[in-house]
Amino acid sequence: MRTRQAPTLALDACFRAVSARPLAGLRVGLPLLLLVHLAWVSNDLLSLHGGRGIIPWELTDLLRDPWVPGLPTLARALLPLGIGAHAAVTLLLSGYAGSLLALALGFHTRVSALMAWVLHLALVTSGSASFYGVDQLANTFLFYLLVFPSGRAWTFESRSAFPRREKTMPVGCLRVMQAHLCVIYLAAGLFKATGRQWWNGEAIWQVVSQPAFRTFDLGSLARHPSIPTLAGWVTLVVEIGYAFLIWPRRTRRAWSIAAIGLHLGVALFMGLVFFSGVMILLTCCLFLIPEHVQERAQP
Amino acid sequence: MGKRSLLVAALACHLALVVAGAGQLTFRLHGPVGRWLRFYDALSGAGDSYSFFAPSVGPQLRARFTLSTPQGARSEETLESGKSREVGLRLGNLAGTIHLVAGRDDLRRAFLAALAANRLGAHPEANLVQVNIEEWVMPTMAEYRLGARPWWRSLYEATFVRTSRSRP
Repeated sequence: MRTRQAPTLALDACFRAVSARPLAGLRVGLPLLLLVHLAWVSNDLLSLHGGRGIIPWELTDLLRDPWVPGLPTLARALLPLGIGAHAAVTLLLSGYAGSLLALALGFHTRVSALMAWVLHLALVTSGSASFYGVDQLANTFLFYLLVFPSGRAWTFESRSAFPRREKTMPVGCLRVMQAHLCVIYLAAGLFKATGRQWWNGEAIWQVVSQPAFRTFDLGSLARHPSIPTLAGWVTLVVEIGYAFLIWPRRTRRAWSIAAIGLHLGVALFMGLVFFSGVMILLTCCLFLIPEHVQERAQP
Repeated sequence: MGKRSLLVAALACHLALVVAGAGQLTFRLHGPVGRWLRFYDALSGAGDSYSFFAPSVGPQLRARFTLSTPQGARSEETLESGKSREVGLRLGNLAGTIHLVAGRDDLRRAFLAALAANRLGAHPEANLVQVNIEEWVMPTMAEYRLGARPWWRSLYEATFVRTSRSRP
């Protein structure tokens, strides 16, 4: 009897209702960040992604998985409609911006999420020569916004016949995203810990000294190696510890603040503002927005 | 097996792929199964590895161009010249991509030629461009204290000349 009940109880636990607000927060925040980023690089979008960009499509096609559609694949699909490559790219980029806005506002969230994810994937695939970690992260979490019920709260369509009942989702959806975020931090921390540079401060020194990341002249750090050494250790502790200490209620807030502080430091001293923004958003939405279902008071 | 069991099994498999991807194990699988897994990984992001700046910080790479006109005037620029930090970071990654494919002569040549064509297109007055892929050599803190300073080391270079056929 007990052995038959155990799997059923475990299954029920995966479908326990929690607030839909954490996922809704991500659905609003991530597309808005991607929109800001799109506007930020808008002058150079055709250089990075156009058929006659810095790297032509014939070459970017060599770098991508042939099974995954890139921007050229979608643009070529529009050719029979009389839409040229240049117009197709402009159309697809406009569609991407429109789908991000619709997703953030909660208009037809499933369709918006599908469009945003497909077009983001196409951009990342065809722009693989110039992409970096944050593009991967955005793709991952747009995929979650598509497959999980991200349109249950904070949308124009989420008003129901029971306005005082909070919108919910199965806890399994939230746990998968939380676990994925923990894997990201743990893997990043453990890979760093295998290198000597993160223990002796050289990693921090090298990063803040590279022209691509340098925001301040920190040459004086060489005279105070204990500072970059300490910064390297703190990075390892925060990243590795995240996977374990973000879960207990007693340490969650402290570890969230530590992770947010780490990313603010990355934004300030390395100029990786967009990457930091996405990481901070993920921690805030997945761990700081309360998941328990609140019964709203009667007016 | 009910619908709920299937959903939980699918999520568990997805998380297993996330862990395998983070551990850089997925790419070791070959054959049709490996190909399908990598396809799913690419779509969902489950196969990504997260070795940001790890285990050590690699050197920054850049593409530098020296443009010459028939009158003998010369100018230098990089892809990142005049661009925002975010765009500059992405353009810098292009140089990194060329470094990654440099093992294949044909690919390296094709990528360098693409960069050269882009710059000659932006500077119609130039008839020759030398493309240099360079890496930032940063001394350690100890070397820096002893007076060593960073510099750009050339990794690959190629010169391209505009022919009368390629003139716009």
